[in-house]
Amino acid sequence: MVFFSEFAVAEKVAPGDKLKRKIKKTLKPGLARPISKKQAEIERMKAEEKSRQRVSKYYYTYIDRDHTTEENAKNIGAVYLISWGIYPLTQPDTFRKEGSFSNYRENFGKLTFDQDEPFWNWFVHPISGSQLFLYYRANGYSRSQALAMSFISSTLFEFTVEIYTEPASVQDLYQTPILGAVLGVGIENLSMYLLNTGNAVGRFFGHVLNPSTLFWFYEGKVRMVPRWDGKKSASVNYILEF
Amino acid sequence: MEKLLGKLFWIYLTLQLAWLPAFSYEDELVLKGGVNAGRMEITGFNGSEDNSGGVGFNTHFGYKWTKWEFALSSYIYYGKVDQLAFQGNSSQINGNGSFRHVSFGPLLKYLTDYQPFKNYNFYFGGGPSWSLQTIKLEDFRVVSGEFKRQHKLTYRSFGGLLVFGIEEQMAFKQQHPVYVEFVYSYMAASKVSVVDAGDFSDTNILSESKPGQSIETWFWMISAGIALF
Repeated sequence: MVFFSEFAVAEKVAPGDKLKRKIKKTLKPGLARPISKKQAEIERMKAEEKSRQRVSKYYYTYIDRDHTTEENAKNIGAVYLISWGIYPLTQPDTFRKEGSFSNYRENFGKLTFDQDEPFWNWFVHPISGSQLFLYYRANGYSRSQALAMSFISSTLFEFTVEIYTEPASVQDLYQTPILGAVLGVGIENLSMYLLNTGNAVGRFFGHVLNPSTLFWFYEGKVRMVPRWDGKKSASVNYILEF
Repeated sequence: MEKLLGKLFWIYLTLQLAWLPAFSYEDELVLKGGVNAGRMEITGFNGSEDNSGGVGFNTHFGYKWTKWEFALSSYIYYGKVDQLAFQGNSSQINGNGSFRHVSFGPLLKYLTDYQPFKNYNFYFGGGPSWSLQTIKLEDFRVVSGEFKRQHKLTYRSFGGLLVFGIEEQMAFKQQHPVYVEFVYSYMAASKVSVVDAGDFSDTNILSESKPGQSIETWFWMISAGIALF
């Protein structure tokens, strides 16, 4: 296989040589002079190597920023409204059998140690807490701020939503945000790794583990345009959408 | 004389280095987590006693000033009980089984200037502690009353804990400073419940009462962990 380049042709054309001038006119930029087989092989390998590279369109990360009081109130309000919808949907039997407004009045302000099985306290609640933590992380809160916001949200849930069926629990109040944040940091790191592998399987599992990265409020999705001239210089343009 | 002065100088320098003020992150929220292992001593009904080992994990979320740190802390511990007598729901049971302990409470810590190793400072602290201890008997004999295999006993307890340890002093918490501490805790039960754990999705409390006599637990634990963020 023979490759050409515009500059190489220009070197070969002698003044007055019509045929070679014609070749020069018909050749497009980027095509070049006849080169040796060894050089052709190198070019072929470079092209093959380039074709094997997976170009990641987006780079997934977290960008921490400050928030106004209004933003904080909006986020807490949104989570609170969602929790009123999610609770009866995820535990319909409990909500139907044990839930009532008389229970709500009776449980209001109460705090107890629940007798739930470890499945709930050390599995379900930390997982819920981790997703809450990742929701706030997606909204641009730092890890500490996301944990503090999760604490507020889960406390509101415990004292004003879950009391429809049972009193607020000490374990849930502590373990949902705290163990949730510990788990959330692990999920955050793993999902960022998977999302940035650049392959479809990695992206799929990254989004499954960390669904907040799929929504419009996720602020860490950075458009990435890699540039490489095939020789020495390479660069990456980052485009961040607000 | 010169040798003595030289020695005194080196002693002075060593003491100065040892008592250097802690240089670490401050005025920040911090979440720490680690694992713990230790021994537990428990007294059951009718003076029965057991002493066994166990493992668990701990978390602390709080605020760190320069030397003081205030955190909400939790210690979780899994162990075994062997040949202990229990009383609950008018039943008396002897048996062996698993033991779970989860405690919560505020913990106030003070970081000293003394560094046994470079960048590691001693600290001590303490605070009250509320806990729920769960005993699931696997092999048991019912002395009186009724107690089934799917039942579990839970003790609501109150007590306190003391901690003494060393913590790495780093400029930023993002460097995940390490802590290693010795924990001593005492708990006394205030309420005992018999719970039907047959259906894990539904908690059915069969009875709640004051423990017939003093049910006490002592823990000695070594805990090690890092500042997560």
